[in-house]
Amino acid sequence: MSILNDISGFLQQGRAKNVKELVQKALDEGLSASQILDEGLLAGMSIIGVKFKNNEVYVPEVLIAARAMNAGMEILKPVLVSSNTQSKGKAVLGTVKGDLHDIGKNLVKIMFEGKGIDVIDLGVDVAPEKFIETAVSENAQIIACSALLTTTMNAMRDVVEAAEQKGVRDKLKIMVGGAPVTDAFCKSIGADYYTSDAASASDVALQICQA
Amino acid sequence: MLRLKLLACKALYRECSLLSVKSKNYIDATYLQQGLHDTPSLLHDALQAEIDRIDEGKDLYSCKPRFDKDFDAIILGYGLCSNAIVGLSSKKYDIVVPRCDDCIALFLGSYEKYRKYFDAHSGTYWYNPSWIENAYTPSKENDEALIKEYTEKYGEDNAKYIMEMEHTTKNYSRCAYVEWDELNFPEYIAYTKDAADYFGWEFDLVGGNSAFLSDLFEGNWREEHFLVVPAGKKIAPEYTGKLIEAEE
Repeated sequence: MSILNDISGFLQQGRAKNVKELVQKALDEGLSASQILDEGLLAGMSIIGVKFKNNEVYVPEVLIAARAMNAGMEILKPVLVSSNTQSKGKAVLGTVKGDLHDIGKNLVKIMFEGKGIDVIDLGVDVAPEKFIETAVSENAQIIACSALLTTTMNAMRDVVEAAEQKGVRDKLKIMVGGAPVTDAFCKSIGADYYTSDAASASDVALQICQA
Repeated sequence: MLRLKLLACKALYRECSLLSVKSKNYIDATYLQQGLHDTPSLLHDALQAEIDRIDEGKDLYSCKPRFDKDFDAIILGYGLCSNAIVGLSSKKYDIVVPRCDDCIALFLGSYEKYRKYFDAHSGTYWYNPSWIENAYTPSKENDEALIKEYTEKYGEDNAKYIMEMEHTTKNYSRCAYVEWDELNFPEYIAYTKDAADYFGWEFDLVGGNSAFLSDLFEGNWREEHFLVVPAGKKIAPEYTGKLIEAEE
C-alpha cells in the first residue's frame, strides 16, 4: 500500500513532520491503527535497524528515524487505546549500574512500545535490586538490561543473581544487549536472551509476552 | 632485543610514540584511526586484516620480514575496546594484549587504578593529549561544529534532537585529564577545564604514568597483566576477572 510505503520511507529519512501528516491521512482514509503501526512505522524502523547492523547508517540516522516513529506513534496511541488494544506485556528497562549510556536503551523502549509492550524505563546507572523490585511490583514479564562498556557488563550478572536471591528468577525473562554484549556472555551469566539491536529485541520481547 | 610489531589505536599515539623511541626493543608501529570501537565488528575486521598482512609479509607499513628481521611478537595497543579484539588470531606470531577494558587503564598506569577510579566516579569523561589530538572530545567548539553539521544534514529540529539524545554528556558529572610527566601540554589541561565549565562538570587532574604500556613494550608480560596468545590460537573472552584468554 503506497501510503504505508511512504510513511516507512519518510520515517527512514527522519522526516517526523511528514510521518505525522501521513499517519493522520492514513487514519482518515480508514486504515487501522495497527496496520499503520506494523506496515508503516515498524516496517521503516526494521529497515533502519538492518542498515544500522550492517553499518550502512549510524546512530544519528537511527535517532531521527526513532523520532519520526515517535511522532507517528503520538497520532496512533489514542486510537490504539480507544480501540482497547490490550497491552501485550510489561518490560522493565534500564542501563546497568555504573553505566550512563542510554541511546540504545532509548531505542529499545521505542521499539518495545511499538510492539504494544508497556515499558517502565528506569534510566541509567540502575542497581540490580531496583530492576527486580520494579519487575515484581509491576508484574513485568521481562527485565531488559543495557550496557555499553565492558567495564559495566558484569553488572548484568548481578541482575540475574538478584533475581535468584529474591526467588523470582523463574517468573521473569532477562534480556541483555549493548555493543560489547554477546550471546556467549548472556549464556555465561545465566540470562535468557541476547539481542544485537533494538528491532530484534522487540521481536524477542513480543514472543516472550505471547508465550 | 625483541622485534615487536605494534598495532595501536591513534588514541595512544603520543604515549606509544614516546615509548617506541625510548624502548630497548625494536618497535615497528602501525596506528589505526581512533573511533572504530563504535563499530566493534569493523575494528575487529580491520585489526584481523592488518594481522593477516603482517603474517604474510605483505604489509607495506611493516619492516619486510627477512632472516634476522622478523618479528618476535605482535603487541596490541588496545584493551577489550568493546570486545573488538575477541577472536583475533595470528597464524605466525604470538599476540600480546594488555588485560584492560580500554586505553584509559594504559594512560593511568594500571588496570587497578582505572577500576578504582571508575567505581568511585563512573560518570567521568576522560581527556589526555592523544585523545584531544585524535578523537572527538566534548567541548563548546566541537558541540557547535556538530550542531552545524547535523543541521546541514538533517535540519534544525532533528539536529537539536540528536544532540539531546546522543550526547551522553548530559549524564556525566566530571571530566578527568590524565597527565604524564613526559607529556607537558598546559593548553590541553586548559581545554579540558573549559569543557568542564561549559558542561557544568567537575574537573579532575589525574596523574598517570607509562608503567602498564612500558611493560608491554619492554616484554615484561606477566600473566596477571597481559595475555600472550600463541600463534594459531585466538583471543577469547573470560568472565572470571582476567578479561581475556587464549583458545583454539
